[in-house]
Amino acid sequence: MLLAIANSFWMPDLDAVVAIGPLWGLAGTIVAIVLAALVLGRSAAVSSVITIIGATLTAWICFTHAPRVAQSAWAGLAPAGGSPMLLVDNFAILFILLICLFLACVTGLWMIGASTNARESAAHLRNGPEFFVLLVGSAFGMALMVSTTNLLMIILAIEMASLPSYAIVGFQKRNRIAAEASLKYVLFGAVTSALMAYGISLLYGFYGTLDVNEIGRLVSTELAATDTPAAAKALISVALFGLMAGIGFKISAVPFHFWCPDVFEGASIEVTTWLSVASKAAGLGLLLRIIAAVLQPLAETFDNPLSTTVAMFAAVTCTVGNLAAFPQTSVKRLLAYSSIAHAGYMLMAGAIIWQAKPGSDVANPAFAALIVYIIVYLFMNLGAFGCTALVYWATGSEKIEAFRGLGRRSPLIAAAMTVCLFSLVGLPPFGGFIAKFYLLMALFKSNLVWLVAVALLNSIFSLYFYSRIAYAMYFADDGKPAFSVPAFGRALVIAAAIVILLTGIPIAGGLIGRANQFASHLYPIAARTTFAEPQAAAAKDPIPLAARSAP
Amino acid sequence: MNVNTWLEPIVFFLFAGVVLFSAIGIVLTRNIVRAALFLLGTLGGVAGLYFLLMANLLAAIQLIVYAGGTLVLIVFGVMLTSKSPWVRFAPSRSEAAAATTIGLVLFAALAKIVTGIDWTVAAHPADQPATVRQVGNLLLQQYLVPFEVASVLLLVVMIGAAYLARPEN
Repeated sequence: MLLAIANSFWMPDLDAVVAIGPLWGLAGTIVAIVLAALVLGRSAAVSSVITIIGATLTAWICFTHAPRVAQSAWAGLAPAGGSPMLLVDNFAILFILLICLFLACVTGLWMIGASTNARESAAHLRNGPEFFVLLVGSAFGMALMVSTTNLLMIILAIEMASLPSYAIVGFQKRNRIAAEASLKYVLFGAVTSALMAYGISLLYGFYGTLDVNEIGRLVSTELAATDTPAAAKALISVALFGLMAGIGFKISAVPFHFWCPDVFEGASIEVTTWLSVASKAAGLGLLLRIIAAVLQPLAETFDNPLSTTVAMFAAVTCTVGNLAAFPQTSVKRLLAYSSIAHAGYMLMAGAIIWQAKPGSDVANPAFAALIVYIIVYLFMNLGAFGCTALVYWATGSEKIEAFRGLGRRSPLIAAAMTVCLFSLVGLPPFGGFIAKFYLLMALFKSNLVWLVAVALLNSIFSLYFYSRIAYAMYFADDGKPAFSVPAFGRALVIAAAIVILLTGIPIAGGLIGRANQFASHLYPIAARTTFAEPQAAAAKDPIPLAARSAP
Repeated sequence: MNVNTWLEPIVFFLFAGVVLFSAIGIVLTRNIVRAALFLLGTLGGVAGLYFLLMANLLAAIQLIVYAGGTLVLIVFGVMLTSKSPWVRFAPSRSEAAAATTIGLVLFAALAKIVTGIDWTVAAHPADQPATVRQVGNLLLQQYLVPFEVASVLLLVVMIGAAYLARPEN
């Protein structure tokens, strides 16, 4: 009888266990750090090396997975008939790959900081295993965020990404600013989490399913129908707003951005770098999945309230971020507001709903544009924060004054910083221009001309405050002596600058094509009810050639 | 005559009375610890209502998480942050007016929404099989992955909390 019970139980099959390989990689890294601390003693060096190995290994698993999921997405890890818990598709693989590469870069940055004996690294050095368990834990949460469309998993993933982040922001327990930043982050996160859980419980109560795709279809029919009572429409809006609050917090969209400048200023610079990119990338990945599910069924009507709402949020976020960056004197704070502004640019992509022609697999151009933007943004921020970190470790200050005369004192770092800054503005020879160009083209094609105007105006605003740093570096020399920076640190920021230059021109055409390929899976998944379809999806050509052409 | 048919309303009104009385108590009392105690009555009364609906597991969770955990957290929060545990609220006129307005608007909106929606209602709860067993089955089958992810989450959070709480030497 026991055997009969055991047989009646659902167990994940081997395929499913293999398919979520990248997640095993990150979870395994956490276990390895804890076990190594038990066996080899508490050593920050060992933990950081394990983190780099784990991140690289996970990135490698993503690479080996990519061809396997190139033809068809996989969704599952639930008994037959249940809604899939985890998805493994090109989109998820790409984001996990980016998160892992970035995790390795941030750990590298941490190692440089530790070698310069910066004041901040003391706590990190003494408590290495804890720091890296928390860092990898938040990476694991972000990887989960981009690989699910189940509301329960979304809550867990966002908490998994957030809770360790609160702890690493306040990791220097003796530092008042860090403690204050951490507390603000926790309180803000708790409120938005509560809003999100409330919204999700409303959606679940209303529709009786946790599957975002299913809910998206139901929401769109309810919103489109004329006989839906106003109260129901209000309830759907409240629920969607709650869901968006949770994600808006992660990407620091206005009005959920108040934590961002304080946290970026209070946290040590490696943590700031990590949060500025990884947390945003994961949040945007999740947002795209939800928007693909909820907005796609509304594609018949280009002019719909949901799209307009997202567009308004994007425009406000972008403008507030850029305007608030004006008076900043701390480069960390300035980059924090810049990251809010960039969240706004990226959020604009969320407003684009694309009417796919019947029977075609053409991806929404917004998704391809956003993927290019996120890749370029990753390197721009890595470079900008990397340079700021090197200057901070050498001079002990992160104010704009610390950058004075950098063009003479450390020409290579100044050059790398200049590339990153002008790429952040979106000026032509750099990757930032290409990213913004595709985004604006996608907006233009979707008749969101006013949003194009907002983005262009904001780029002009932003030129002013980014050039203040460039001005300090080249035209405001105060005669302080030159300094040398660790060779590995120099290599890291120069590599970031070179990637920005490369994405700027020669390989950009290839980049958007690849991005299109990665984005093409979003819609088939959004349109899918069960996960029995991969074979059917594999049969047809995944991306028609026309879809690859750049806009 | 079935004992349930006349006992059920009595028990319902008993618990509902406890919930309402305590809720009003929370609003009216000026003493923060007393408010926490009234909150215990509200949360416990809601747990009683869950028991009445045969939602045994939900009732147990309500008692453990809210009446147990959250309440202890509130009391600890008060004890740790205020100079004296006998802090008294003294809301100003304008604060009271603002709170009343927000409360009324929220209540009106919720009342309109809740009455305006056709909620899906399950069959009579007593006819359903035991919830604990169902939840157990769901946790280890349909929700196995969230269950495991939650355990990783707890591990990481525990490490973080232990680090933050440990005195630096």
